[in-house]
Amino acid sequence: MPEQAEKCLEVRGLGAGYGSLQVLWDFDLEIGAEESVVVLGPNGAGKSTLLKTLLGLLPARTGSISFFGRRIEGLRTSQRVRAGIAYMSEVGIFPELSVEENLLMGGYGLPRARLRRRIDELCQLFPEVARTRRGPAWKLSGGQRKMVGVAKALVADPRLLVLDEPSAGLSPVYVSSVVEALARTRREAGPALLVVEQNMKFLAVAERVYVIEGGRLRFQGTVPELEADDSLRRAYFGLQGA
Amino acid sequence: MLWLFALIAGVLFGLYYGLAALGLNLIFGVMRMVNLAHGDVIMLGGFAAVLLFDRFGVNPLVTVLLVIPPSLLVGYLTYYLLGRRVQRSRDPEMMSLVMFFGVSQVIEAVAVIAFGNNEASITSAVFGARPFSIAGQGVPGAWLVSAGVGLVALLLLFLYLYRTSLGRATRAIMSSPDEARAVGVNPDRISALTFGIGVGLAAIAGILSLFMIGGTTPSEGVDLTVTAFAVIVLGGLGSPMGTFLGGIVFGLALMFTQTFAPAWSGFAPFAILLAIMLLRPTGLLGRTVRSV
Repeated sequence: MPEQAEKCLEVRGLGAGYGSLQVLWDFDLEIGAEESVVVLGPNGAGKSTLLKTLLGLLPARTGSISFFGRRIEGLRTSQRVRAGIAYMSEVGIFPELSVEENLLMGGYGLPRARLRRRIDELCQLFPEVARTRRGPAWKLSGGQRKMVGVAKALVADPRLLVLDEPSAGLSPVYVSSVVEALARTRREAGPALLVVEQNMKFLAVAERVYVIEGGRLRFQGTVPELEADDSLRRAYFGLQGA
Repeated sequence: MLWLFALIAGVLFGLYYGLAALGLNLIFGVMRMVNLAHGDVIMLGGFAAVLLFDRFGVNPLVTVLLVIPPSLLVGYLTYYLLGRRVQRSRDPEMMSLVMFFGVSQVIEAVAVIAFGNNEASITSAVFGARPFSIAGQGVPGAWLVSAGVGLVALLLLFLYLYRTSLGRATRAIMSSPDEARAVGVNPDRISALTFGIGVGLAAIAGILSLFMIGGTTPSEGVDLTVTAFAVIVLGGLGSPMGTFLGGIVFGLALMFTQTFAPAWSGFAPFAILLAIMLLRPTGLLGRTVRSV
């Protein structure tokens, strides 16, 4: 990220864990105001822990988190959401609610008229969501769930959209659809984007990449720089056959 | 036409049982806490109605309205005093059993001191002495009024859950607590409100129990909790609509056996519960209690 660019998110020395287990160690991360960043890492690397700590679902043990210059590590999750961070977990939706109710929950606390207007806009951006809007969420396929999850996260018009493994449980065809939907989101809705993933296809929407292993930062740079690193190329691209 | 009477009575009692169990299920669904003091709150609701009727001549229907504000307040404060601590423990379900068992014992002991061990009741004649005729069957007016109040309370609750932003947030927490927090829902606020609503529903059910099961004693809390728990397991843990359905099934089973095989009436509803557990372990309308 260029030094002078406005920073959406700045994480310094972040540490977090569960009980006596420390999962994340001294992690640094920066995202520009209109930037798209992908954090790659294998299972158990600490990716979800990183996101949960950013959202306040898990307390930070060390370090600082700044969102557009404001320290947020002491704020509750609801306050971070109001500040403009939206999160899509691996599950992504409320299965027991209808699709419409999921979208309404995405804008929890917003005035009703604005909420309805925003949902209509998103249904135009995501025709798949519009088609399933009146039905129950538990009937959706894996790919449809992710689409609804992304739309739900966008309802509040966030300044940063955070996605936890959007490819989890999806067939390759649906993964491509989700990548395409994210690219569309970037073009038309425009929040900064932070995606944690194992799937290389998501590098298509990345301007910069971080690699996390064993809860520590292993690499940060652009996609070409990642590809130029022999050991990382073998570890990630090799497995993908790329 | 005994079967027709059993059917009508079963539905009327089902509405009562659904109402009596709904608060327990809401609290479990939102907080994953088993409120073993639920039956004791029902019992207290009954005593409140008796007290107000005996001392001041207050009609039980008025008491239904009067108990709502204090119940909401007590439930709200109970969550912040006890519930939140239980919820943040390592094993909230087990801790809630221990904590609310203690609360149940305290309530029962205090009720014995305050009201004695004798059964307290209000004459059913307060709602008219003559039975009403439904499809040619004579049904006590008190049953109809009680079922009507139960139905209105259930409808209002479902309107809250399915037509308001707070109700939607309540169902969102029941569906996935972390997901709900991640969209900005304050779980403490919703939990405290839900605890208040749960206590309020139990207190209303307690007033109706005077007319549906004939009276109240300080020791009946445990039986009422067991019955309410059976109804929510039958309908599906965490499913408000399931509780309503579970109440109807429980009421029908009870009334049909009381009509045709009275000796089996304490057995049949629980046998149906076991059968449903074997055939459909999530209950009638339960899918999963939690999605994550």
